[in-house]
Amino acid sequence: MELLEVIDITKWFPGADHPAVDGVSFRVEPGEIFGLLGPSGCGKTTTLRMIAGFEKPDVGRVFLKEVDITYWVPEKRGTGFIFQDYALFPHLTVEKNIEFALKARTTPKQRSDITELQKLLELLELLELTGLSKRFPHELSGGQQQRVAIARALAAKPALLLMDEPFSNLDASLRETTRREIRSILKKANINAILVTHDQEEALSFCDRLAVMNRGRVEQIGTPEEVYLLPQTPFTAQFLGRSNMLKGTAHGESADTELGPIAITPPQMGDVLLSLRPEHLILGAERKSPQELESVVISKEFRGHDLTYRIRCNDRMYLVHTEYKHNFEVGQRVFVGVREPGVVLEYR
Amino acid sequence: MIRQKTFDLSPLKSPGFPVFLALFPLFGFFLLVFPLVYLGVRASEADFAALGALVFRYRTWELFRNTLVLALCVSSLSIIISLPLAWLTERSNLKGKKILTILAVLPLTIPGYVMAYALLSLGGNIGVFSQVFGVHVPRLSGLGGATLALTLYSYPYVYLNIRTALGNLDPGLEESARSFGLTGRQVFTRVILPQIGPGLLSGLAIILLYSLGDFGVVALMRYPVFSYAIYVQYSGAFNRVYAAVLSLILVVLSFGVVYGLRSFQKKRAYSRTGAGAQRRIKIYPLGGWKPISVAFLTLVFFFSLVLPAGILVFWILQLKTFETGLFVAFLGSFRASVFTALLAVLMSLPTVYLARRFVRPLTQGLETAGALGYGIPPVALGLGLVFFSLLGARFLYQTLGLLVLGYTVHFLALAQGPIRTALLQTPRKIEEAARSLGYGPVAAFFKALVPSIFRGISGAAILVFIMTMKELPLTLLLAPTGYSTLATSVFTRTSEALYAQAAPYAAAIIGFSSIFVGLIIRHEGKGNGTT
Repeated sequence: MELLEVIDITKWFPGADHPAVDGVSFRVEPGEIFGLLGPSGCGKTTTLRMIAGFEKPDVGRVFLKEVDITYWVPEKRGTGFIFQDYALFPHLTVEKNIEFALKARTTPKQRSDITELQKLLELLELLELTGLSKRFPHELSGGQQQRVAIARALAAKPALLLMDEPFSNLDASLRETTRREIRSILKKANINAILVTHDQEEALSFCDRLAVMNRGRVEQIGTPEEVYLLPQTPFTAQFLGRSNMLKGTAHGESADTELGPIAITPPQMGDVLLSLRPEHLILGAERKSPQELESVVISKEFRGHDLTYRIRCNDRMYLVHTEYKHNFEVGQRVFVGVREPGVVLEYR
Repeated sequence: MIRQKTFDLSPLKSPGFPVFLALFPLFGFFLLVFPLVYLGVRASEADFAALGALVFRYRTWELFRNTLVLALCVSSLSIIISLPLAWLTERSNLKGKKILTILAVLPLTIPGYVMAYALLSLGGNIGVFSQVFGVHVPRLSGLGGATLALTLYSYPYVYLNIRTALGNLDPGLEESARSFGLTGRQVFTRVILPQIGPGLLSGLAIILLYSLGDFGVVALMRYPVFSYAIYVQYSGAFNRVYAAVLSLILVVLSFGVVYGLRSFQKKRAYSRTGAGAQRRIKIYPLGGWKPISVAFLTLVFFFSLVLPAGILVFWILQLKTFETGLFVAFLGSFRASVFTALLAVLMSLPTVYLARRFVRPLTQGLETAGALGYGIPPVALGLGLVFFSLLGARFLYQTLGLLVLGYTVHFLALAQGPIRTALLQTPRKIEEAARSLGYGPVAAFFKALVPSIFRGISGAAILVFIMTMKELPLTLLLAPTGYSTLATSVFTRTSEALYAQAAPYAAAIIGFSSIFVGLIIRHEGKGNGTT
């Protein structure tokens, strides 16, 4: 049984000439952290808001635990929502913000129960907020506000936690550690979540599976490894990191391209568009095999842990990542080789 | 796609639209429309020929001319005072500019009729001059007196607008003009003046609205303009049809000004330069102009602050016994003001909420309609409400309820402002967060939204409260017989030249509104820390 099933939802906003969300379908399995990844305006947030009930789809259905919740009001759904800027109640302390959520779905009788206070304390401890319980939101740092927002959402015991770009307001240095902490909290508490983000690195490291979205449609769904290593469309190949695109003629497991004959996956016949990641090319000062082609270094970008070269080969430009030890000069003659199969993309 | 602009009722059918909330702005809309309709009903009691004779008689022309002349004089004098004052407190190297700015705004706490009272009681046989110096000075009255009194308490509106415009100027423009070879004076006339034009005009529009609608000053100074004539026609029971006709003319004039104000404000938005961190504005040393500048400031503050305060103190010292009426009048003002503040907030909260959370022509139209009450001259509004209660709602005639309704219609725009600002600063997410935590729409509104915008709500209540405490013409027309307030007490005593007896009431109003202005300043200063 899947936890959430979104079937073919479409949403038009008044006055727009194309739908914001256009026939989107996906499933979220129990225990999974699912990602919606795409550039701004691709419809990922609108999709999330339709799952939360803040927007109603024009077409399509949303099922949560096999119940059709498409037209339910937000408060009946049992979905928690974490906003980009957290939306903490400015007039309430940390403690009261969380209590606000604890009180929502309990009766007054349950409320007097000792368990509520315990739950609050557990949450504060879980999110390392214990010393901050009497503070107001404006007295907290961005990272602390974010943890309060998560504590508040968890307090309402959501069946599914929806997160709309929750890390984008944090400093770059804080973002990575917060992400790791939150992921381990969600996993420890066995909470299902959907993360919306435009940051590919964030999606790849945070999610168990993800859907890449573009112009209101889903381009590809898969695990982070699948979508990165085996992109199905030119958009996915280029949105998730850099990619060299090349045309060729395929004969089963290999294809003739401008970089010579190379292996391809999956097998295909006829004209194909291939994606080769920059790290799947290799450079050398000497020709090591007859397949390697002569090229010229056009520019060089030092990135600390590795180097990115832009090279010209037969009047076409390619990007190549090399390890930090390879050092070539701009204008130097080098030889380029292919060390992984090219990925065949669908193109229309 | 063609959008239906006026009667688009689609929001009423769309899901999630709280239809019952729309009852509040609709009620406000009818409160606004009924007085105007009943003015029309009264006016149409005369047949067509008689109506024509009424409208086109010499007296109407005279009132029209006087009204325009007064508006022109007040506007000119306001600019003459405000332009140098704004320059000195914003761009000169004078010390203590913050205090000077507060002094320049302080006259707003003095109601026009109190200013008129102070000026009137200077001259004449029993005036301050003849009592203190033994010199007989003629009483200030008519056009001169009215101009002076109106200007001295309302110039801060022009001053504030010019000052803001001067502060927002891009200093780069002045510097680049100098680099083209323009002299300092040329920079002022060709670069600075054109840029503060829109701000100046919208300040002027407020002053125009005030001088068209003012009653207290012109009545005390006995200068025949529309609002004074309307009151005399009505209270003297001479010709109520003529009073209704004059009221309608005045309403049309005022709406013209409001319309002008709105179109200027729209243009002003285009001229504003990009946002971003504010650059330091250029400060000009006064040099040899300093003595003249100091003399100018002294003169302005003497007339607008020291003189009225001194005169009040003088008259209070003359007083031998205190009337017990002071307490009754204070209670009268207080009671009506509390009810008005509550009702105005109760009505504007749903109105602004609908207009900002369900952005549609219908909801925004209702919000704008609610604000129009401030543009109807109070004398016309009051008269319309009297006719309405006499002809359409007899149970309201001569009740505190009618007075509170009148105040509310007039001050609704003032209540909308702070609530709107607070609501625009509070994202929709606040309600959505509460909804996703399991609260229904009503609980989310009261438990999450209302506390978040509470500062705006209380600010609105305080603002309406002060303005109601000072209000005069609506009170004179609508208060039940025998119901006295501080404002009516000042007015009736001053009209009978009982200056000493009027002084405690005037002092109470000024003292009370100063306390509340201080409260507002503190209120605004605190709200910056929240997320």
